[in-house]
Amino acid sequence: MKDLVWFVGEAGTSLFEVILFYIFFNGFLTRKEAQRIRTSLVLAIAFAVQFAVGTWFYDKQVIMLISSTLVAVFICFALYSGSLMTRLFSPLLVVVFMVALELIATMLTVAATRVELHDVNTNPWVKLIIIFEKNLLGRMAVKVVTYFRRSFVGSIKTIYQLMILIVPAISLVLIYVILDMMLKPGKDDVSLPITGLLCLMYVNIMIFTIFEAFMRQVNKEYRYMLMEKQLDLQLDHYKQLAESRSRVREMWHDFRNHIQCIRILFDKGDMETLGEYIRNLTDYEERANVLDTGNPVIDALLSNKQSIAARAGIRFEMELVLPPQLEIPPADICSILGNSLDNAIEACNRIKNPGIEKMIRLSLAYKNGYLVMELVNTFEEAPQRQGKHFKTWKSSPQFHGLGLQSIERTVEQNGGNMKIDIDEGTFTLKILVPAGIQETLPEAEHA
Amino acid sequence: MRIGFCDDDKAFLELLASYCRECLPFVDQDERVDVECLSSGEELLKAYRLGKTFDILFIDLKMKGLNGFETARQIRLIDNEVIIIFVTSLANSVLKCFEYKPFWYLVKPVTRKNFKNVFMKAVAERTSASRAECVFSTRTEGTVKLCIGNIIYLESLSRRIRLHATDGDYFFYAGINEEEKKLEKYDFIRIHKSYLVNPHYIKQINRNWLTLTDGGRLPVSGRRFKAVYDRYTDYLARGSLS
Repeated sequence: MKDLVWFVGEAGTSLFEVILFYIFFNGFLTRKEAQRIRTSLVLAIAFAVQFAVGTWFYDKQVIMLISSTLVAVFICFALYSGSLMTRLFSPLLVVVFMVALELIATMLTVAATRVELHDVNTNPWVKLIIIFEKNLLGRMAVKVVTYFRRSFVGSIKTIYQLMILIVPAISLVLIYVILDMMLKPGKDDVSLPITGLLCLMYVNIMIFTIFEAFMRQVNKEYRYMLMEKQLDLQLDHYKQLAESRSRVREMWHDFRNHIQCIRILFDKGDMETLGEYIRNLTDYEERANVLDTGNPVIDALLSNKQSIAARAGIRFEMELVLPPQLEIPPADICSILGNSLDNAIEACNRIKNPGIEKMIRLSLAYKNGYLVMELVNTFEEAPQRQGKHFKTWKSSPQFHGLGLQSIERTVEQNGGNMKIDIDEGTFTLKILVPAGIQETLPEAEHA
Repeated sequence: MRIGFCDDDKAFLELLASYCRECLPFVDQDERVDVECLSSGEELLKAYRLGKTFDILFIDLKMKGLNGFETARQIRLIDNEVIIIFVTSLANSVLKCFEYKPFWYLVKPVTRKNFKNVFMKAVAERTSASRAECVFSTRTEGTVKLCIGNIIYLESLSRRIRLHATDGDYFFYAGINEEEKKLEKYDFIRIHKSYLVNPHYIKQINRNWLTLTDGGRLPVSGRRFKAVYDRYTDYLARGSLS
């Protein structure tokens, strides 16, 4: 009975299973840095083992199941990285998933072709059809789930993720119930369970689609809010620019007066008064000028926060060494800088004791391909930890989730790192974000 | 220690030199400090060709003849170690100077406070740990004294240690834990149970490996990843631009 069709069927099953493992893991786990050749070698070994076990022990379900699990674990450990638990847990999950698929496919085929259930494993043609169906269903399901995970990982709460993942899990239970009903003797009509299964599939797909649309909306709203914030800042910055322009005009006017006076004093030959006059002018030298890092988003944001700090009586020191074109999305810069400065200003504003100086020191520099930020501020009440995160002082709950947690999320999305140090009376926030700089610059300027 | 100022504007040169002299009493050092003013890029390069070396250079970007970038480029061909600080009134050209490994840059008009700030940073860098020396007793070459700044990483090979430096490899018998303790004050980072790296040579950190500035790759243990990144964050937040 081991003819060619049977072998092809067995090979197809094994190949499909290995590929399914691979696709599934790709969607959920992070790959190790491995060369192509190693990947293909691992997959080939997995396939060979699966095929061999499949041909020898085709009638022993338990052995096949164990070998599938072992192969999945092997692929997982050879090609992917992650904690031990996730690497052990994911293969188990995928094997359970495969068994469920096998059941569904078998049932559908049995229902459609009206073959006896126990004939399935011996009739090669039916088996081929089942493999085909399994393949189709499996790839579809994996695509949906991995796509869903990729696009929203990080941007939604874990509880929602759990809630939505429970839906397919419950569906699996339901499928089992329907299957159980179908296999009971005396029930020959399978059209009702099939309808039920199709409905269940529809419900599942719809829930995922709707959830996805909903998440997209939430993301969009978040971006929109950030953008609006940014626009407000830009507006403030322009107002300040206009102000400083009029100040410059004033200074220019003063300057002409000064030159006139200097000339008169010089003509009179009164060197002593002249010297004093010039010395009095040196306060121009130390006068703060408008921020100009060449990076409009950072300029706008910092000058806005600077004026807020000045109004609140906070000493705000800055040290900026930045190239004008940083390849970090402006919305992300805005979120990181804005949130951290808001936190610092908030902490300073809570200082009631006149003995503690309200001070913020920001240093932003571009080093070794990283944007390096260090923000130091003083505080009176030490921030309280709540588990891994810090408790908020803010009274209005609508701003929750825009503090340190959102900074950390943005930083990590960009592959960076955030570190918090709390010393006696000072809070230090250090952030690294890897960033490229644009290399295009008009040459004429350096000539 | 020799400090050079290079600018074609005589008055400005005088101003910077006077700021510099005001700062000198704050420099905590026994070594003699020479301040030299050079009025063009050509003059600076000529000084280099005559065998003079500088420790800290302030170079104006906009000069007649050789401009600041070109001067810096030619100096980098001769001396890769000198601390270069660009002085500029063009905020836009800041980007381009990142190519020449500047230590920092000063925007004109330079105030006394700004100057002192940058100057003290440069002096601190010059006298910093990267120039300190550490002694290792190797098997083949006896006791070797190595400059911390030249060590790239240490690898533990069971009971031996391979020390990879800019000028080659050294082997000696020691435990990597002791070496870690010894080099801790120089910011060396333990990225893996058998690797100890000088953060100066780290280019980028990923979750499972890091890239060195010479293109090499070392594994980062998943358990230590956050701690490694935190230490590197501390190091960069403290260090210089280059």
